[in-house]
Amino acid sequence: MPFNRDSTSYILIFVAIMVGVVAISLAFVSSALQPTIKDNEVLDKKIQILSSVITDKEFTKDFVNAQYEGNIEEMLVDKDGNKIAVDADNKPFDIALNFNKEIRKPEEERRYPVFKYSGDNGEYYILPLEGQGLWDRIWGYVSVESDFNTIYGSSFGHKGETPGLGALITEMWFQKQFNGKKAFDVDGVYQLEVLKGQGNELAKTSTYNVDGISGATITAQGVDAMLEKGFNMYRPYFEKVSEN
Amino acid sequence: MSEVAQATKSEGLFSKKNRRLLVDPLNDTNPITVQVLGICSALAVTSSVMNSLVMGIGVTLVASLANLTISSLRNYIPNRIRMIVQLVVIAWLVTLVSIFLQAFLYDTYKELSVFVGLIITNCIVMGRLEAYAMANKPWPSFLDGFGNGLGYTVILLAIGAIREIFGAGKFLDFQVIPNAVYDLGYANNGLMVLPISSIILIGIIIWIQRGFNQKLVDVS
Repeated sequence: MPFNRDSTSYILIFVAIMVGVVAISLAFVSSALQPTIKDNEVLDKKIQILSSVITDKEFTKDFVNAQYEGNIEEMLVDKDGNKIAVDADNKPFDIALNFNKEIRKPEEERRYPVFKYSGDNGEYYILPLEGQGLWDRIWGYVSVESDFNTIYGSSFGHKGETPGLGALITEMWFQKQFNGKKAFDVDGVYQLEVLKGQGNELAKTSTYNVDGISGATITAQGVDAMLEKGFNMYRPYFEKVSEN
Repeated sequence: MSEVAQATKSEGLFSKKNRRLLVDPLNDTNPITVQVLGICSALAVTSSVMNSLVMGIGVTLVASLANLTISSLRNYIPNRIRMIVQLVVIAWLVTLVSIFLQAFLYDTYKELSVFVGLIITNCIVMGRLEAYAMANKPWPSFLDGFGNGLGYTVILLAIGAIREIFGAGKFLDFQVIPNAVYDLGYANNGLMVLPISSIILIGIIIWIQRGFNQKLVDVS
């Protein structure tokens, strides 16, 4: 062999070339595909928003864009429930796309997106949610009826929950349980609760309780906390709209 | 190493020796039950058949491609940093696959995102790089990675099937235990949903395998 593989200079040269090749190839592929990835993310977000009200349709690209353009009205509110004008700096959809960052800002600066759906299925307000599962972020959208209390539908997502356990929050049977449940009782106290485990009698009888997931208690509790936080964030807005 | 290369030059692509590379990991040198590699992911992701299958395909792909890459570079890799080089190659491959999935198969990517990290850290990939690819030619190394990936997939599928059938009454999301049986008082086994059941199942599989395969007995 013409070179000494164990010499320090050879190692350094090898590492430099390796790092260069790896970095350049990854950077090239990543930036070349970035627009496509961005499009996918935008479409996926629209699907998530829409799937909290539409559950019986197949989400093709055209269907999603048509539904979103035609039936969704985007709004923004602040922490006291006052409307914020939608302009180039305040785009509800972009804020929803990065809702996890928005939620970390001080309360006064936060802008909460509201998506009002009016279409074949009725008229609902869709609210973004953001929370913490067992391993990483979880998020979701919940659609409420115009009493701002009864849940019409929900869709949840997660970044890294355990497949087969916490990841089950994205399954239809879990999300369906929330349909028709109420967040607040007659006195306006928040009551909605995700119970521990599956097969609870209370989940069948009570309008405030849903089953959790066996083996994924922490993720289910994350969903519970996320809903409570979400409903409380939007509460001032609910009250403002109900007054008028 | 060039002497070895000359001696095996005339070998066919699927010679007897090369076929053994594919078949042996399914039984005699199975990565999970004999080499005891990749146990961690066998515990974590086998709660359903679909998850097992996806993870198995991912590991097979990465193990064979990483073996191929490292084997092609084996005469240039400095011995003292070979582990680091192996890790970089694995991470590079997995990241590339992940970016392509994000761009062209976004739904699959969403399902898989959690597996990606598990593939990088899977001990089978690194174990085969170190034990085989560093000392053998690219094509046999590719076969070795592929064979070990298959051996891993087979065990994962077996565990996944048992866990899904007894833990959820389903197979590939289709209900296989009829409702009539539940009406008679049968209940899903909650233990099967938890990772702990995998380690019991792996133990049972090793036990059965050694009962049939005399080569694995009394090796000491």
